[in-house]
Amino acid sequence: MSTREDILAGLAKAVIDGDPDVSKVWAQKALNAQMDAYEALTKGCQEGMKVVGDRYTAGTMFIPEILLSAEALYSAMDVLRPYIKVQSTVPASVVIGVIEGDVHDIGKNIVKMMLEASSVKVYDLGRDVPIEAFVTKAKETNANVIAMSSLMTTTMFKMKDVVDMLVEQGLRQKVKVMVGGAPTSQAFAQNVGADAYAVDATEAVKAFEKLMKGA
Amino acid sequence: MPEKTSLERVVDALSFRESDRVPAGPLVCGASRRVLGITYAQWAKKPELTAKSLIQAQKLLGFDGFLLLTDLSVECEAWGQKVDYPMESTPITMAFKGDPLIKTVEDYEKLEWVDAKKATRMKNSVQVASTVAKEKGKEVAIMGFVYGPAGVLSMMRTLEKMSLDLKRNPSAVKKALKVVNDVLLDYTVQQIEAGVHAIVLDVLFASRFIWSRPVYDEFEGQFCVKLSDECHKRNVPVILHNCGNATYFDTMTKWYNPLGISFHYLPDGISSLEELKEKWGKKVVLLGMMDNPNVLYMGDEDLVLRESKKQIDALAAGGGFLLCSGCEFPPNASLLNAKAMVDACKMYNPYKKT
Amino acid sequence: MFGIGISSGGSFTDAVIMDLKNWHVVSKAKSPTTYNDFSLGIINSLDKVLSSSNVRPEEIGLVSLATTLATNAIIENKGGKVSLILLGFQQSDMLISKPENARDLPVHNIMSFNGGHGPDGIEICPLDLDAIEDGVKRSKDAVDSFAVSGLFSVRNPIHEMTVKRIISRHTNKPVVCGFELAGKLGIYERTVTAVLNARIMPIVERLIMSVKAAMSQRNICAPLMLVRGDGALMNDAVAMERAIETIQSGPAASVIGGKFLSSKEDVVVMDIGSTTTIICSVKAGAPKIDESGATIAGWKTRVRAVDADALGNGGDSWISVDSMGILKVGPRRVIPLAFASKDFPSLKGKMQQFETVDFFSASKAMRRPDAGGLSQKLFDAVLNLEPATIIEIKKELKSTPVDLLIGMLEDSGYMARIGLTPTDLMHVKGLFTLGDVEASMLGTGILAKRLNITQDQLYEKVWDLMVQKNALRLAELQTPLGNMIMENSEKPNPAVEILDSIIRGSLGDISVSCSLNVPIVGIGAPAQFFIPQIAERLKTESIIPQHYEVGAAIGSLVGNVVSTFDLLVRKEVMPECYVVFPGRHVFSDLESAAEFAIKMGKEEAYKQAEKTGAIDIEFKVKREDKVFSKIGFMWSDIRVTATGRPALESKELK
Repeated sequence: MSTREDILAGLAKAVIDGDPDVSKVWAQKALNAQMDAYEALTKGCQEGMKVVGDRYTAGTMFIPEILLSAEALYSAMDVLRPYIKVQSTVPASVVIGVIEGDVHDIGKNIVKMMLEASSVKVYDLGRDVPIEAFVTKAKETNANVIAMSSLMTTTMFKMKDVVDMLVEQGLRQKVKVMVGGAPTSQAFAQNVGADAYAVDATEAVKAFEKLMKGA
Repeated sequence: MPEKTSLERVVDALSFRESDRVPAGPLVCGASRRVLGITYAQWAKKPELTAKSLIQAQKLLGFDGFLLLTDLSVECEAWGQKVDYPMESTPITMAFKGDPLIKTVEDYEKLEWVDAKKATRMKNSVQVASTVAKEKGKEVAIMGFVYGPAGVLSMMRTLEKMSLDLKRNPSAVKKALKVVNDVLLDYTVQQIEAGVHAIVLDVLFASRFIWSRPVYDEFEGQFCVKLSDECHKRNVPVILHNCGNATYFDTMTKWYNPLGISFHYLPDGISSLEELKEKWGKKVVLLGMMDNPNVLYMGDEDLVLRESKKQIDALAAGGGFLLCSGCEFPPNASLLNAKAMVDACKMYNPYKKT
Repeated sequence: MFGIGISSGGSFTDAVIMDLKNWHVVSKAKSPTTYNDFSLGIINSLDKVLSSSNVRPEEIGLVSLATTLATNAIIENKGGKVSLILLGFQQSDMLISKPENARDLPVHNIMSFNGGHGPDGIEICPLDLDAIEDGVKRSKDAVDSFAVSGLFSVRNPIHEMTVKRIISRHTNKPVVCGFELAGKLGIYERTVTAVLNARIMPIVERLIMSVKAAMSQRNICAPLMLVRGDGALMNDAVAMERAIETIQSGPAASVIGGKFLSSKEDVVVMDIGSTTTIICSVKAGAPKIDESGATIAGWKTRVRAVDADALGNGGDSWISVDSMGILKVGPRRVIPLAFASKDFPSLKGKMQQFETVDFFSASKAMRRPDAGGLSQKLFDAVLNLEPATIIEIKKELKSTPVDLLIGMLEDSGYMARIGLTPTDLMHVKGLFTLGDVEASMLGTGILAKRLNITQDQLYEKVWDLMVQKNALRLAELQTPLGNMIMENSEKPNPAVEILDSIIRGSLGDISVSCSLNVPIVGIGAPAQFFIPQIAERLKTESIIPQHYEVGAAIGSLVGNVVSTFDLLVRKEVMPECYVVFPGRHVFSDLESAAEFAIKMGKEEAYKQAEKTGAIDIEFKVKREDKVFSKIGFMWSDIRVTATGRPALESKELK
């Protein structure tokens, strides 16, 4: 019989190694050992994802490895999800997407993964997302944050349109805005009226948490 | 002494000689459509218009080299990958919009050799090369463009899917890469025969934020090297392009032995322009590295001039440097900013002996 | 030539006649405000001020009026039936946009149609003209007016204009478009503005008609102007169209008057009225304006108005003793005993019977709750005829949570509180005589007895609290704290407590001092009793100018006619161009775009200023380019302001 510590370490390692089969087994073991599913997710899988994020930033893990980690994360989550009591600790939700005209979404997907790993409810609109879709989805889901990214210089101005749209519809107080993507910067975020900018996925999670605390 | 031609100037730079001034390569491609006054879709689809736009843009702006890049979906179209042609934006593979040619791992195996000569978009590109070479080949440097095999394959599958596949089903991916590379080899040869002076190979995935070095070696290097070998055999200079972040200059030079590298960001492990010049400036010709979004797109001419001066100051000494945009000149940026790069090379001339 | 300025406030309607050449006050008068029909009080004061001077009606070249009529109508939810047409925005969207706690829109019906624009001023969806026409036909006979509001109409008003045209093909009833009244983003606020405007138009029109009739009977054929919420003037025709812009008219007139009388550019104006106290700062000659729009009766509008604070302690602040036996003044506002006793002659008897000064009464202005149940019972049994004490109410309602019910009824405005106030103390001291002095004396006696002090001591204590509270509120407003303190927030705020101690001169064992770096101008009848003391605590100069007691009436006459027009120049890419809004005027370079925007702004502002009754129009252009290092130009906000003097006219000129 594995101890609680073994299970958490096992989950974290399976996520870091990017092995969906192993992570599923550890998730099942957690359930068998009567562990709290939420704890298994946050203290096991999420800890693993944090390491993955740090390693990507440090240049010791790469896109293929990260995608495998994500699959491992999701396969453990699939096992654990039915047993997670609806927690008031599930802090917030975010609508995420790559802005209209841009189809580069790897960065966005990594941010999505990291946010999901932190128990944030993520509504992913994918890429080439029309500006109205961000606002409509935020309204429909009552999301706390809109996170948008753009890698192409030609589409950056659309981000201001999303902010204007929120102001026009009276949602600016309710919905925070985060921007990211190579051509954006802190200054750019401020100027289009966004609340936060993040340089990479790890920073995005931090920025998100900060926004939620401020709210 | 009469002014040198653009071609002579570029040859000097590629030979590590200080020329009459630093050559300017703003890599004006899609942006040239605005000189002729046509839509992006027309520009990308009609080779005679593509060529005419490029030539007119060169006349207008006076840059020293042509880069014959239309977009990154030229090669993949040969296998039947659907491509979207927005009226005023870069054509884009439908794989990025949910319609990839390779839908399952099995589909890799179905990829077969195709005749580059009969593939519409590649054929068009060769026609552009031939027209531009005929009209401008004696005065201006002409660089052909080939997207590396891994890049082309990703345009039919998406990078994420392909990245997972290569972990789970490496042999299927490699089989497809071989097929793609064979066709790219034909395409390279056709461009050379059309009269380009050099071949630019785009090897985007050799970046710390995409693939590790071993994965790169295994899934692009070992195939793509055939393209550079062919160029070397024909005495055609190879220039690499990689606009990714933290790129692997070491891995790239190891495989392709390029004459120059065109780049947007500082390579992996290098933290300043000075360090770059010191470590790499004698080994490869540096083509870079004007910041596309922040300077060329968002900035004005003043900023472009200032940035250009900074780079010339740091990188031009002893030749071996072309002032280039980090990637294709932003297709919708002000053309005055491209002009400003050329002006900068004329104004800040470290080679002028007083 | 002479002008008459009139300001009808909470209790009094003041009037002045000024010589328009040298701005000297020739005559002044005060008469009670008549709530049931404002025009009576206004006409009374007009007669009074005319009869107390030698000025002949023929010499009057301008009559200008600041009135709380529109504000009151909105608070009391009066007005015509409005049909609201939304374009590209659904009724359900309105609910999402609606701030929490905001009241529902007072509309007869809402129709939503396809249409509206994007942030780039490009049509999202074409108008469904047939459906709109059908809708208009169906509701035109059931309503008094229409309000039209479209998504991003500030960027492109074409849809609102088209719908307005369609409506006027079928009916002559007024149509108000969102973009006509507000040039800023925020469809919810623009819609509220348009709806409220459409609703109160007939009410303001009625007042204007009565006053104009009275003027012509008295041989005055000068133009009639109304004071806008930002202190500028507009003629009667425009005021009828843009009735909503007269909200905050009173405070605006106070600030403008205070500033004018002080002849200073940087001051804080404090208008201490018999009911409320208004505080507003003036910088570089201009009152502080709430650019995001005034909030009225829980409705957030986009009406530019003076950012006047009404949270200071005024004449109607409630003097009470809490459970610890500590004397408090405010923050609750109540009806002074002196005034309540005039409405309810039995009040004095009840005060003696129950030995209390605190009563509840059915609100004068409001309807009865129609919900039935407990509140109905309360009104029928207790409040029907006369005010009741809490003991009587508890007796009637027995086990019900009385406090909760009272709170609800008070919040919704059905019920009002009566109590001892500073206004009563001023009656006792003989500073005021309008109300029932006996009731005030009786109340002061009862409370003094409860506290076991003399009436004079009570007076001193209340005075000290009033001065300190107002000094504190003024200080809050001059710091970032001002915006953070909400009305009726009962929670003690540590920052405010510290500020309070600073004003009092010591923070624990440390002596501290603070001084306000601008003078305080006091206007309003009780100003002379308070302002010097408030200024002393804040270590600044106090200015009590001549004619301070009719400062607001003067302020309603000295304003200019102003019209502003907001534009936006936006950079777009794909292909690169510069676009001027409203509308969508495309240019290839920034300077041509900006030049066009300024020209268009001047034309529009000029047209509106002229229509509003201005002559000698001058322009001020404010252009703010948003340009950033690295990013470059993104957009430019342009505001064109056209300012002129009111065009004068009199019988003699004719």
